[in-house]
Amino acid sequence: MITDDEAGFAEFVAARQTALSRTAYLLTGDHHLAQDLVQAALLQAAKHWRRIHTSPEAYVRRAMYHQNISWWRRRRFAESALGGHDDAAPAVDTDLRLTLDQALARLTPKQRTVLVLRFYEDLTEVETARTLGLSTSTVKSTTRHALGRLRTLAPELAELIGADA
Amino acid sequence: MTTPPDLGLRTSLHRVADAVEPLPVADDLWRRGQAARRRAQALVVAAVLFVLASLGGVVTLVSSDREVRTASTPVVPGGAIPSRITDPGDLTLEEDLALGRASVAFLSETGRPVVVGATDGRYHALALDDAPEDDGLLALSPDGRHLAWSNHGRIRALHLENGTATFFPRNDEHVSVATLAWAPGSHQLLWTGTDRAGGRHGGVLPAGDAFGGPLFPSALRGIPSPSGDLVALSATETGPAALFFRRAGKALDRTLPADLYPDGATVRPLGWTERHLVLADVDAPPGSYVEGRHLTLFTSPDRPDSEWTYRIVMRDVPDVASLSLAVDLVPDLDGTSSQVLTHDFDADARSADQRDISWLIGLGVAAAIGVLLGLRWLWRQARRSR
Repeated sequence: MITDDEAGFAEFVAARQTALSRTAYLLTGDHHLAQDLVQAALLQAAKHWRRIHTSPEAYVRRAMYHQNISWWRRRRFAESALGGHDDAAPAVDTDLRLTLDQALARLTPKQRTVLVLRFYEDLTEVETARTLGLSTSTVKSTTRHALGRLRTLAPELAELIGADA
Repeated sequence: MTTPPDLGLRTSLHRVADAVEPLPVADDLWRRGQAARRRAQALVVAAVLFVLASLGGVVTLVSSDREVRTASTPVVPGGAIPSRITDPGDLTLEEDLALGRASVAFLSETGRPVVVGATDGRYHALALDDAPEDDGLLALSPDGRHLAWSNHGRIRALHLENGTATFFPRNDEHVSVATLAWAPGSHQLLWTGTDRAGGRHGGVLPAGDAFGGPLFPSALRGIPSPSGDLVALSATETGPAALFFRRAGKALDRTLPADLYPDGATVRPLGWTERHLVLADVDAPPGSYVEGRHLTLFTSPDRPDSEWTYRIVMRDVPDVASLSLAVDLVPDLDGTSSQVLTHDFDADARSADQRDISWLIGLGVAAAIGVLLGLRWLWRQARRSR
């Protein structure tokens, strides 16, 4: 027999798993990392369900953002660097989605996270700053640098990104 | 609000995201989450219990009587003379008189009979029956197991190991008692005083655990040596020598070191530590190498000068009355000047205090960590209830 809390959790997972997985993929750029990220956030949600059951999605998303940056901090010294920092990514794939995917992969998790929150989750700069525990000016500068790198890494995306974005 | 060019990026991000095929998540997330929650709660409960236990321990340590704490100081097996004697002031009188062997006894400045534990160096003020008053005397036996006292002609002897006392009522022979001393062996209590007619009188009381051997009448003039051949006398005036009597009545001097006491000193024997060694309470006038009241150990004059020794055992003896020591606790001399004849119980107490402080610091840090964990838990509970 399952409790109301467990039933509520299962219902939430079933309803929101896909959306959460998509955000997690944008944050990590890797299917398996995205799966791990969603599971870690859901585990935290299960642990604190009684406290967050009225608005679990905000909690889980916030957990994913922070967890992703935390993992990156732990991994960055263990992994070898990727090529030149600002070398243009080889645009062998003409598909725009793959090009954007590859370019995002060259950003730092913090830059990716800020872009995902600003342009996928559609949060304002102030909301993004509050969610990530950063200052608004940091969000602004991080966004500017991230878009600049995208333009450098994938010049063909310039039209998408906009010159002044 | 996003600008029109951002809409292109936003649309592209959604396109990337929509193409993602979500991988399944584990179906035991709920169970694992609840197990983690129970572990966290158990940790909080353990932390709170630890804090309570720590606080209890700290309170116990802080509120404990210091003397009780020093009771846990290292014990000297068999006992020792303390390296320092102090007047403890107004100690609480103890009713339980079975304190065990003592090393020192005296009447404090407040007139309370005080003994020092032989093995732990602790001070005890004793609630004695008919405690010695103005003209009262106190005398600790050489083995430290018996404490005798007199008050208005009444003499009592307490067995410090079992708390029982022997009473010798005032009688025609001892209307008042002037001196009280133990003979070597701790079996015989020597007293002198005045009888009902006002004449000088003296005698021997069987106050120890066994009967002692016969004593010469001269023994009553001071403290007889273990062999009975010599009696160490108390001087009433400052002089260049310690005074002795042969049992036949011939006086002997034991000259004091002139370099230590150019103006002489007053010597009051406390007992014989060996057949030819006397422990004495010496008071030297200003200008002496060792000024004031101190304890010394020196060879009796029946030995050749070449064998003489003179050791300062303790300096700065306080101005307490009826000071007596368990002289049997002074170790036999080994012939070296570096031999330590007393034990520094204060150092033991200091090291015990340092251990106490270390414990307090440790417990304090643990308590602080526990309190922080508890506050974190309370904060989270408060957030949960909002």
